[in-house]
Amino acid sequence: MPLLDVRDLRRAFYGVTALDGVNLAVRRGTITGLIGPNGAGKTTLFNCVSGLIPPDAGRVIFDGVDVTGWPAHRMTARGLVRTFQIARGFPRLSVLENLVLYGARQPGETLWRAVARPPSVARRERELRHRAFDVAERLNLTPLLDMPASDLSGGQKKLLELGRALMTEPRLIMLDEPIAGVNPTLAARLAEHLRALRDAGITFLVIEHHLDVIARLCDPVIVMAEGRHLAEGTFAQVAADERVQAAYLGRRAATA
Amino acid sequence: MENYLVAMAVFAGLYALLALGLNVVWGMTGMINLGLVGFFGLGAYASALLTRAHRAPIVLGLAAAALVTAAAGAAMALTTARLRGDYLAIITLGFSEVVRLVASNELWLTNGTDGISGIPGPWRGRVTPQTFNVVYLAIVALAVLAVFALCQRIRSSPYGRVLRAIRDDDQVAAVAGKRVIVFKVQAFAVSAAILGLAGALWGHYTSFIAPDVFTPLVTIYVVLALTAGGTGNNVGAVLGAALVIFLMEATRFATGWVGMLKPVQVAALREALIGGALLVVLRVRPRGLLPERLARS
Amino acid sequence: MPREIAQLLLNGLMAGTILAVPAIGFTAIYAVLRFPNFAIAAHLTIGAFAGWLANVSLGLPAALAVGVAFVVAGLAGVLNDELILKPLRPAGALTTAIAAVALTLVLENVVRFVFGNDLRGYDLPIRRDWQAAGLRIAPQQVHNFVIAVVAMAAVFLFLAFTRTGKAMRAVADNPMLASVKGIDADRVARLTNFVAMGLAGVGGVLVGLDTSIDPLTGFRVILSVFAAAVVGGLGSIPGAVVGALTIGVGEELSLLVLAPAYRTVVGFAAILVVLTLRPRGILGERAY
Repeated sequence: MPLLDVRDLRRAFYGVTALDGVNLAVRRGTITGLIGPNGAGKTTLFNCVSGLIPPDAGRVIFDGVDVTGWPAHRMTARGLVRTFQIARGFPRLSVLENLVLYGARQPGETLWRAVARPPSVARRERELRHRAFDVAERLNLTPLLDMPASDLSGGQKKLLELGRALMTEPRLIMLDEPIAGVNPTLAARLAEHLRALRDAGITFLVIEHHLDVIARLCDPVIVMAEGRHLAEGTFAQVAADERVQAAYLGRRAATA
Repeated sequence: MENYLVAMAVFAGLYALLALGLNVVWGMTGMINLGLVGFFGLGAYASALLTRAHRAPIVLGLAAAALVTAAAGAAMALTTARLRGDYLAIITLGFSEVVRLVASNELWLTNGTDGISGIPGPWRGRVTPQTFNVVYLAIVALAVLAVFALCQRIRSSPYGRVLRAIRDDDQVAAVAGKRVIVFKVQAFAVSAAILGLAGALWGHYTSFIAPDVFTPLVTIYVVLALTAGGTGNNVGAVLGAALVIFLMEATRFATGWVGMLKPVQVAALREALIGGALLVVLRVRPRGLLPERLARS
Repeated sequence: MPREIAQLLLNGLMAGTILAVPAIGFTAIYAVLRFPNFAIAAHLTIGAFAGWLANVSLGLPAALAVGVAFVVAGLAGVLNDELILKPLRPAGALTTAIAAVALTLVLENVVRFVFGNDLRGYDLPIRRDWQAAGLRIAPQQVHNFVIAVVAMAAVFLFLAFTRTGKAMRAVADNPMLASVKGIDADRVARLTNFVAMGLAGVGGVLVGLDTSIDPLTGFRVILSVFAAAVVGGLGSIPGAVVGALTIGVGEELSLLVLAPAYRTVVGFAAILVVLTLRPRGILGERAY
């Protein structure tokens, strides 16, 4: 059984079809790549699967449970968390706060406990801070913990995004262009982190336009075009696929 | 003179409550409330009616005011929770007008534009007016202290962290695993309750309320107080409230010296100055005198 | 009873048409600049007073007074936006909305400073109502209706057929794409403000011709204007017209069950109902 199973997912915006019956599966313990020309529906797929927008039709099955149309906070609690293409987040929170915020099961997040502060609040807060310190250590964010997130560089923001996702105790992390705008050294380090995390048992689904990164990092690679699943296989296989070449070229020919 | 200063301190305290209440939504959660005077008025009327017509104890009136306004606030936040903030701006502004309309027209309930007089105050009539003033100042100071402590506790808790996250990006907050709608509705209700409490305390102090008291001008005063003090900062909210009272009184004396103006012109000048002051602060010092600070690890 | 309802419907359609004029202004600014500009209230008042000066002090006919109001309120709108609101827009839509409320307070009091709080009326000939099929209609109502329709038709033609109008729609649809295509967003913003606040000014004259004016004129109708825009779908100009007609008729029909003072509450109730049942308004908010 795949960890994530997307069946015939459909979504249109004001009459324009973005997802036209997508079928795809993400196997456990993989770093699965998701590529395709602009407008293929990759980000819409992420939005529909992660619960930010409900799909019009189709099903999303995560770890054997039908989670179609679940809101984002329930998906995260279930172990599926996503990041954003343009590093979004909480610029006016410190890096540490950004991390701790993502922690699950926080008693201090109910109003009365926030005011009354039973011991459970401080206990969980301590646990999550330690977890955050570990995550920061792993991602080399430790010196930045007290900085407001707005002060980080583009690459550091991407690391923070990954760190936040790790705080949720995830089983699947969906990364929307984790390498975009990151310098090559940091990109290589990010790829290292992803491999290490996969070996630790986390599955990844990665949208990325840098095909060289996809080639080195991802197996299998899924290609989407025009709101559908077009091809799947190793990078070499899909790169050799004529339909894939046509989709990329056709797109380029149309916009040129 | 002493009485005057005490009275100004009471009003500064009431404005501090309003600014603290606004800070919970606007400062901490990033939700707008352009009709906060409506909640202020609703609280004032709720407590005044309960204590005057039904002879309920003042404490009960205050509690009822907080409850009624919290419910109204929750309803509004719930209606607009899934929409962009613009809708909440429109709805709250509309709400304050509706409160004023109802207060002006339901004569059987609110005595219309003539207002309600003779609202009881604690020990009023049994002690000298001077003593009453001082006693009331103590009560208001206590209320400010309690609400301030509550707001600080909320702000520094994991709960407050979620509110500040929602302020920055409510979609990402949902991905972080937070039920954004619950936080928004609760925050708005808490804020509205504080505004309602301030309104009730206002009525019991002045002993008279009328629809005229609850004009959009009050909303601007409070937004000015919070913005000047430091949006997001509870200390700033209290400081800003004191500043606004000072500014209002200063303009009262200043315009008093301009002899050739008609009273309506003096009033217009003061209101324009308040509005202008907010525009200047937004432009020149948008983070206020005491900018919000980051929590340290 | 059916006749009474027919009369209310007729009045409502007339009132709704007038309401549509400032509602188009509000929704147009929202469509292009993406914030609720509450200062539409103050510009409505400014237009009302500019028209009044033209009509009463200069003795111009009402139709010319409408033109004066359009230009004065439009220019005031451009000036206020350039000097006050535009520099604040980077701080976010909600901060700009707050500033717009403060701006309204300032402008309203400038008007009050100059003109005082007295109610003022336009110079109008008193004419007998027309009667047909048992329905009454005042010539002035028809006159106002025609002004409103002409003003709206002009806006529609402008948006549909001129280069500038098309540029405005392009920015409203997709600001990013528009800037790629080389459309000057600043110029479009200025034009939008001119037209929208001009329409608010025309709305002010229409209110003045219908009743009387004072510094609070704009504020009094603003709830209905919001309601019209939200009910029709924020940012949609045809929506603003449909919304305004809905609110106009709704306010009149409410007279059957509510005291006249509560007319404007109808608008608020309509906002709540629409947001609960159909959050994007009758005609749907613009997506992009």
